[in-house]
Formats: sequence, C-alpha cells, structure tokens
Amino acid sequence: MTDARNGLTVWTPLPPERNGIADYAHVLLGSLAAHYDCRAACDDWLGRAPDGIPVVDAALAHRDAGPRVLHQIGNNPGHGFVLRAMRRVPGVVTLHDPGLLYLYETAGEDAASIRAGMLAALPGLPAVYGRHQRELGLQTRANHLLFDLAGETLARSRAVIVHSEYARQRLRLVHGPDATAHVAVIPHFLPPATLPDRPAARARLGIGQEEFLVVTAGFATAAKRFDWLIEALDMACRAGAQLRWIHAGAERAEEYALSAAIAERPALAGCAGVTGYLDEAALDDHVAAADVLVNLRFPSTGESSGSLARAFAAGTCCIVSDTAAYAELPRDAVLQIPLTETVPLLARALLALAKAPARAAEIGERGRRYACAEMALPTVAARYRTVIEESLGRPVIAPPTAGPPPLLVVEAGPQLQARTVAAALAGRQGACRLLLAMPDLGALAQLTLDRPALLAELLPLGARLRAARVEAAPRAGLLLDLELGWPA
Amino acid sequence: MSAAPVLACLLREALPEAAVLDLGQPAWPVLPWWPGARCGLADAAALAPAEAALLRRFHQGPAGLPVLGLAGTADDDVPVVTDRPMLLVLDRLPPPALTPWLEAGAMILRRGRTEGMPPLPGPERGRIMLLGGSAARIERWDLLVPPEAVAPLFDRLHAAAHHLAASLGGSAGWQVGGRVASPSLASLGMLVMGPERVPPLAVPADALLHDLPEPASGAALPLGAARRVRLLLGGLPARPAWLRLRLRGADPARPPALFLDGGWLDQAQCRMEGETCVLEAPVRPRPDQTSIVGLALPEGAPPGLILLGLEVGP
Repeated sequence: MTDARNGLTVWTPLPPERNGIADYAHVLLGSLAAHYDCRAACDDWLGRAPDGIPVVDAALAHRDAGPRVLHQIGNNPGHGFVLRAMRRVPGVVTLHDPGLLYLYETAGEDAASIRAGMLAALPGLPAVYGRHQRELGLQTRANHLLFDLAGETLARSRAVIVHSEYARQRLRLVHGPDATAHVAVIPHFLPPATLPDRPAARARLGIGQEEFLVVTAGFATAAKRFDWLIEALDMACRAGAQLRWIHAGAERAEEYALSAAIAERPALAGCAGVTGYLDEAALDDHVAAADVLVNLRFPSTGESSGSLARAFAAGTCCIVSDTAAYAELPRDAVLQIPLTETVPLLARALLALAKAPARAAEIGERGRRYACAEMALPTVAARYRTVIEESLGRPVIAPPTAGPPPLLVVEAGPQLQARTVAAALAGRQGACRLLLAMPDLGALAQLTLDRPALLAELLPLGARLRAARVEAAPRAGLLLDLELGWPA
Repeated sequence: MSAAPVLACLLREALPEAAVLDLGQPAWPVLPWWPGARCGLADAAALAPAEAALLRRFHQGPAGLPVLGLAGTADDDVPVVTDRPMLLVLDRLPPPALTPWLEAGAMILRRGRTEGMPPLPGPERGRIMLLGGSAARIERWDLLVPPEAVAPLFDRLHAAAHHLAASLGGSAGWQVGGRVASPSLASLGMLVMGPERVPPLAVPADALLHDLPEPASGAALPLGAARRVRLLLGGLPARPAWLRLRLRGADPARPPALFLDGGWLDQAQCRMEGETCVLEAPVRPRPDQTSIVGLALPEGAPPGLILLGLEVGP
C-alpha cells in the first residue's frame, strides 16, 4: 500500500453536468482525497470538483498523469471523452453500466468500431447482427442487450470496477474468465451528507405529514418501466389506496411519454406529478420525504442506481425489480417484485404499505442499516485504493502509436476470398495499410469491373476503410488505409 | 534560458520571405516567434498516443493544415516545394517525407553542432554558427545554407542582431559579434549581458493553431457558436511572464476563463481598452512541452467571442 501522497488523475464528468455519474464522481473524489492528491480531468473545463481538487482539461491531463489513473464510464455520450482517454492513458475503470453500446453509438465512434466490439458476444450473434448493421443499417433496441461493447474497456484497463456481482458475472459470461479476471465489485456508496429528516422535507415540499408518498427518481427511461408502475398505481388507487406519486426527475419523452401516460389514467392523474430535473438538494428532499421509493428495471444490464443509495441513506423503503443487481440486495432490506405478474404484485404491495406505513418504515430502516454496513463512503474509498494499488503492475494492450502504420500485402486476383484477407488481418488492432497486389493496373481494373462490391465482400466486419488509392509502383494494386478493431 | 526566441527574431528579420517548418519536438522553439511558420513532427511515432491525439486537434491558417506528420493516412500531407526559400528547424534527422525540400536546397536550423550529422540530401551547404544565451551559458545552433548565401545572410543577421539589441534594453545589454571565416563558414553571437531578456511575443490571431471546427479566414479568430478554444503556441521560455489575450465581444461582467496547459488561471484579470477586452494572467510556461492556451466562456456569457491576438511578455 502507498504511504506517501501519490497523485491520482480521475477522468470523469462533473457537476453541473446533469449526469448521475458526475454526482457520483464528485463525492468519490472528495473521499479519495483522503488517500491521494487527486485531480479531475473533465471535458467541461469549468466543471465543479470538491474544494482543493483541481480540474484540468481532459485533453491535456495525460501530461502530468502518473501511473494512478481512474476513469468513470457510463453508457451515455457524456462519457465519450473518458472512453478516448482510457485508450491512451490506461488505468482503472469504473464501469457504471456494463452495457456500453449506447455510449459507442452516441459518442462519435464509427460503425466498424462498434461491429468490432460486437464480435465479443454469445456465439452466432455477431456475424448476423454485424452484417445487418453494415449492409442494412439495421440497429434494434435488442442490440443493447445482446452486445455490451465492454471488450475494449476490459482489454485496455488495469482493473475494472463494477457495482454488483451480477455485472461482474455478466461480463464474465460474455468475455470469459481470463478477460474478466481483473474485474472487482465495489458497491455504490451512501451519500456522505445526512439526508434531511422526513417532516422537514415534507414541509418544504408542501406534502402533508399523513400522506402516503411514492417517489420515483432520475430520468424517466423506458427501462424503468413506468408503464408497469402506472398500471399498478392505478390498480392500487382503484382498490382504495390513498397515496400520492411524484416522479422526482426529468421526462425522456423519446423513450417514454410519462406525463401523457399519467394523463390517460383519471384515477391517477389527480395524485401524480412530474417535477422535471432536480438539483441534489431537491432530490434529497423528495427521497427523504417518501414512504416508498420505487425503482423498477427491465431489462437491466447490471447498472447501479444513485437514487436507491439515497433512499437507503434516508431510511426510505425501496421497491425494486427482482432482477440483475437488485436481486443481490438482502431480502429483508428491500421489497423485490418478480418480473412475472409484476403489475398485480406491485399493486398489492403498494396498497398494503399505504394502509400500514409503519411497515414501509420498518423495511426502510433495515435497508439503512444494511447500507451503513456495506456502502459507507470511507469503506468504498478504501476499496478503490486497494484496487488501484493492486492494479499498477498489470499489463494492458499498448495504445497504438502515431507513427506510420504497418503495410501488409495480399496477392489479389479473380479468386481472392474474404477469408484470405481476414487471415492477413487477424489479430491486428489499430491502423494498418493493406495492398491488394495485382500483376498490373489493367488486371486491377478488370477485377474491380468483375466484382463491383469488391471491398464490401473482402473486408471483415470490424475493419474501417479510411482511404483507398491505386498504386502503380513499386507494386501495382489497391492500397487501403484501414482501421481495425478498436479505434486509436 | 533558451536562445531560440532571439535567434528566431534574427532569422525572421534576415529571411522575411522564408517558408518555415518547425520540427523541433516536443516543444516547437521557433514557432511562436515566427507567425505563419508551420509545425510538424519529425518522428510522430516517438510521441505518446495521448499527446498525438491532442496535437491532432489543431489546424492552422485558412487551409486548416494539420500538424505535419499526424494526418495518418497514405495520403499524408507533405508541404509543397515552392520558390520561397525554405527553412527547416530540426532537432533530429529530417523525416524521409521532407527529402524533396532538402533536395531543393532547404536551409536547416538545428540546436547544437551539425559537424557530425550524416550528409543531407541535396546541394552542398555552408554553415553559420549562431551563439545565443548568455556569456555564462552559451547555446549553439547551426544554420546550414547554400555556400553562396553564407556571407550575405551573415550580414543581414548581424544587422538584425544590432536592431534587436537596441530594442531590448540597448546595445550595452548585449554582446554582438561575429565574422565570416571562409566562404562556407561564419559565426554570429548575440549574448545577453546581465539579466535575461526575451523578445516580447505578439501573435496575430490568424497565425495561431487552434482547435475550432472551422479554419480562420480573416485577421481575427471568431469563435462563432463555440464556447471554448485551445490555442497551440509552441515552446515558450520557462520564466515568469504575463499571458495576454485581446478579445472582442466579451462581457466584462462574465469574462472568459483562461487556461494554460489545461489548468485554470484563476488569477486572470479582465480589463477594457476601448472596445477591446484584455484578458491577462501571470504564467510560468514549462520548457519541456508545447504550451497550450485555453479560453472558455462561462455559463451565461454571450457567444460570438472574437480573438484578436495573443501576447506573452512583461
């Protein structure tokens, strides 16, 4: 272990970015400062770090980064700069969501890189889905479950931290035990600040002390299954439950039109509301004021939930889906709703708790005790330090250099097959040049006339064609500038 | 101290028509003092991947030229040989891509002795030894030029040295001297006597390498809708100085934030000179890397900032 004050550079989004991982990193940095001289490398140069921790331009932070490096990666475009930094400055990665396809799709990664990442998946899937993606531009929501795109992160990192055993096992299943031997589980932490007490929070929000309050939080994504929740709340209300529901967060209407769905249910519309995006203090008030925090997920890729941690800290009863990481929570610390018959079971649970709020309080208190034991911030920071220090000697794939790429030559001709090109490119990553050598330019012209889709036929799914030119000498042929696999 | 700023000023006055390519890695020493000079990498593979990715962001001039050596495809850009005299600034052997320049007789400026260098392609070259720095610490650079240019170029450099000395504290503060030893060999010294003196740096906005999406087309550098920009300066002397940016369109109540090498200069001050906002901060550049200035608009500040120029000086 380190005794001296070593430096630690953390590539991460920071507040005021509206991103749960930015909030997570802000808290974590303050806690890691007990162990390291931290600095935050952020795409927003004016991002807010805790007092005493400098923020540096993420594009320049490599210059003074020592061997201790931490990257915070989540599955949204706000983490594109972290992904790129991870390629060039390897270190430990916190993988907040083991599925990264959305990040790759939205952070400017090219289609060939995505196809290269799709190659690590359950057998049989990549060839079919990759071909559909390349030839038809077909990209379905199922792809986000079938392809995690985590292979590059696993290969380029000295260690990978996930927040649940589910996430670790999921990575292991897809990528194998060798590629995931350096994955460690560190649970999400409890917020360091004491959450407001319930009466004060309710007073600030104008909620009666006797009302039974159900809260949901964060971006209203499709995976949070508001469709199920709305139906269950509607059933509970029609069965006589007296309750109020607040969604403490912003809608994401392109995924799920929450307000419209509420308006369609007259029994619910009078007792439900959506706040829009909240700052931390307001979010804390809502979570603390709640009798129940509902945090459903389907499908789940093993992502973690910051609002769940807040609810634990507040002693608020949590209802979660009995799936993925949520299934790992102790059965007496939360209410887990099965993925079959979810709506009626959730409706019955809400009805029962609304009639006996003390039972919700009991569950919430057990959740709080569990979280204090397992998710305390100093404990989490100490575990981070252990992972960082133990990872220092672990080798990673060398980042590609900026020098001239290697030149490969394949003897081309009318019989040239894709498997020949694939064999020549096998095992390579990054930039390379491939000369499809022909006896003369006339033969090359004839070949391209005979096979007009020549390059589409020959190049593997994970190869990106950056440039092509005809070479007359020293050998005639078609010279291709390629980018293979993960980008440089 | 580095003699590069002084020597760059002398050469610029003596060779006003020269097309300059600074290949001094990792911190281009001549680039800041020669607006319009192009910078490049003699050995891109020696660069750390993250530094290469950083430098790949920048482009220069109305054509938006990248840092030479980082385009990265088979069609990598190579500067076109022109009728202008060409000057290559090197700290190692030139890359093969520049052989056409060398064969066309490009001049070479290199820190240190050149006697032991392998022969360069192209015509025979004479040498002007340039001695800079201080009497206590002399720094030698060699300028390789066609033999017939040695004597006339020496005369122009000698005159330029006297002009520069007069403008930098007066001739009493400098020891200037030299001679033409033979038709192909000359030496010129310009040594500071007493405290170090560095020519003030003033770079017009259109000469700066930047990472805005569009190349600059006029004398100024408009940020347009962008809320931040990085400016690549090259190698600056490692001594305390003031970094000063002249801007139009800034709101003095919400001035832009100023950065050097990625770190926020929280002592930056903003003052108005007529319509121009002067944003300045004390800095101490690092000698081992190219300096990069950043400018970012805070939340609520109006867009449309226009950079007029950049200065580094007392």
